Amino acid sequence: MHSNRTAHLTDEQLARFQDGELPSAGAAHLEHCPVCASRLRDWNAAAAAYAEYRDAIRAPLLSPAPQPWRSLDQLIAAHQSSRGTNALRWWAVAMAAALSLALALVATHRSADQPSARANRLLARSALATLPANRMIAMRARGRTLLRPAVLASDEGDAAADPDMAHLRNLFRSARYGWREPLSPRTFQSWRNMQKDRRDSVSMISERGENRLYRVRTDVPAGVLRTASLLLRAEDLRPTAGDFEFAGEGPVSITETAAPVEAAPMARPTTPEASPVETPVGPADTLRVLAALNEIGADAGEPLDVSQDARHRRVVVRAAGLDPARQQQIAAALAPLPRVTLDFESGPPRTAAVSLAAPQTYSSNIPAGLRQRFEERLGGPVAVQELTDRTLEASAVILARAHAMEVLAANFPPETEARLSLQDRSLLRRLRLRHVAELERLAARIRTGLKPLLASPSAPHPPFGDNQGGETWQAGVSSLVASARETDRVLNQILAGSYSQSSAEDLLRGLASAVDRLESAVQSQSKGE
Amino acid sequence: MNVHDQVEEIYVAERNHIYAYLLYCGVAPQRAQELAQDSFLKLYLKMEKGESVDNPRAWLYRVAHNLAVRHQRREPVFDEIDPNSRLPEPGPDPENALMERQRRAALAAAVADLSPQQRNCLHLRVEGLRYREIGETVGISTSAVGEFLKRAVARLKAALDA
Repeated sequence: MHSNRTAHLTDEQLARFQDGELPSAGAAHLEHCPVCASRLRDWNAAAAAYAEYRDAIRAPLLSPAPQPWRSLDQLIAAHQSSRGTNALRWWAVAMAAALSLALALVATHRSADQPSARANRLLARSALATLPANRMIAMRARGRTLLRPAVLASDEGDAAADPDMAHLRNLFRSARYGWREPLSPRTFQSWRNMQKDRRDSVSMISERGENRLYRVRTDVPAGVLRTASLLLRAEDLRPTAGDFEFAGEGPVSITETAAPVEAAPMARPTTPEASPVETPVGPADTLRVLAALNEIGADAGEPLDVSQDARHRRVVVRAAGLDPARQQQIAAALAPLPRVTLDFESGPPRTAAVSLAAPQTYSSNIPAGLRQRFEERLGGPVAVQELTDRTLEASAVILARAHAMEVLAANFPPETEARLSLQDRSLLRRLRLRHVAELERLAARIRTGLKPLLASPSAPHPPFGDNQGGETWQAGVSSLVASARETDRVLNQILAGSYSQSSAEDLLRGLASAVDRLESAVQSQSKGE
Repeated sequence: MNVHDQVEEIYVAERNHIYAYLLYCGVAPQRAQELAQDSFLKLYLKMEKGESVDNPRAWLYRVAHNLAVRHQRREPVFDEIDPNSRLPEPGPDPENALMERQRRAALAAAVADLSPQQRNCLHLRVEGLRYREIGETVGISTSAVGEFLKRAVARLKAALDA
């Protein structure tokens, strides 16, 4: 094949030539082809440059081994000694281990089915659902229906204008349930996390026999708010309604409504504060906060939001539902940075990321015929279960990383990035590439894991949206987020949803396309500058 | 040569490379040395059982990578250099020292501009691993290795030609 001088060698063939493993026909091609010879020279130059970097620049900076190396005999002796000691205890340990394993299996089986874990997972995913701007909600209580924006600009709102609305606000406040955005899964989760003796339940209901909804419900034995539930649309987990039962009060229900914002304006601009005398904080300040959070892994998958206050005098980091130890970690990471305000009470607004719940076991909903096929291809029911857990976990992390990229793109559009100092641009680039590297790895993991289930490689797909030819990395982020959501949706449908055998093939084809688009979007990010 | 002697020879020749690889993966020196020693012990135990290892060096990198992931509970960010760290000084020749310092700074900046995955793949390639072996070490497909290396070479070339 390579005797044909027009068929250039692949990169891998060039590498095999360097390794002395290329068949003679390929080597002969190299002798005659200036293009491939030039590519080989580029390769050799790059390898030599990297080797120089490794040996002359990087190696002197590495710490030498702190201890003298143990000899191989010493390593073997230490290993055998620990084995010998272990062997003496083998029978006792084996019995204890067998018992522990049995208990652990039972516990794992039970915990996998626990409604609270399932509620965590649904709420975490729901928090990433796309919601329209200017969404309105109707609150029904005391025989009245009150309209207000789904998201208030401030925690206060304009409740004073209506006594019933003011009463509702006071109820939610005294229950420590976020009034600013009561139909938000984050608000629900934040309240739920504060309840020590809660009982969770998750059920699937049908609306007029067609639209399926998840109901996530939490009951508590004491307190102002005794029961809260959210309805999440099954197709995209968008929160559409909520029901609340306060002690000594009639029920309060909230539903999304298409009413115009003007119907009950409650949001109003915040009152301007005194003129600032200090320099406003800028994008570089936000960047350093994000970098500090990244160092402790808090910029992806945490219920946390970074913004600036109304007067741009401080960077505000909001979070809710974090345990005290994590709060301390975040406070310590941000302590060296000036002009940062921490708010662990009010919680992040709608655009913030969410905590990632532990992967939930769902694969029991796979139709019997398809399940059998999965088991045959993957090697049994345990392998199917493991794949389900691994894949859904990877998908959840991908969503969180994509969201973190979205935050970077929103905070640092091209014109803002261009105004950053060289050092800050480099910092932004490092932050971004860390996310991209993790996205690449996880997308590859999903692809590899699902390989036995996907019939054949599908045709190349363009990424979502119009940004496939985008010039900047920011332009491609919307495609990345859309493809991450689509992949997650299809994966959940296949591995965790309920569907018929007849629709399974369509779903699997859809999955292959979704993974293609995700990889394509991630690759665009890797290339984007 | 028996298994013990074979592994001992590999151990002496490769332990500093595997240790350095673990440092590149962000593992602290003390732990990196322990994990490096564990890697060679695992190789010995495997070969002693009669299991064949096609390329022990590649196998050791794979084990070291897996140990680093397990130790850090996440995928390592390969060779993350503190931008404030000082580059080693070139030789004592004052005439060429400035130019050499600038050239090295450009080279370090070019490598720092690669993504962690690109650096990891390039590092392993320069260490002599094949595409398939790099993919097995890092946990990605062979085609992904090719893509990372291609981009790494293009970026290095562009940076060094500039």
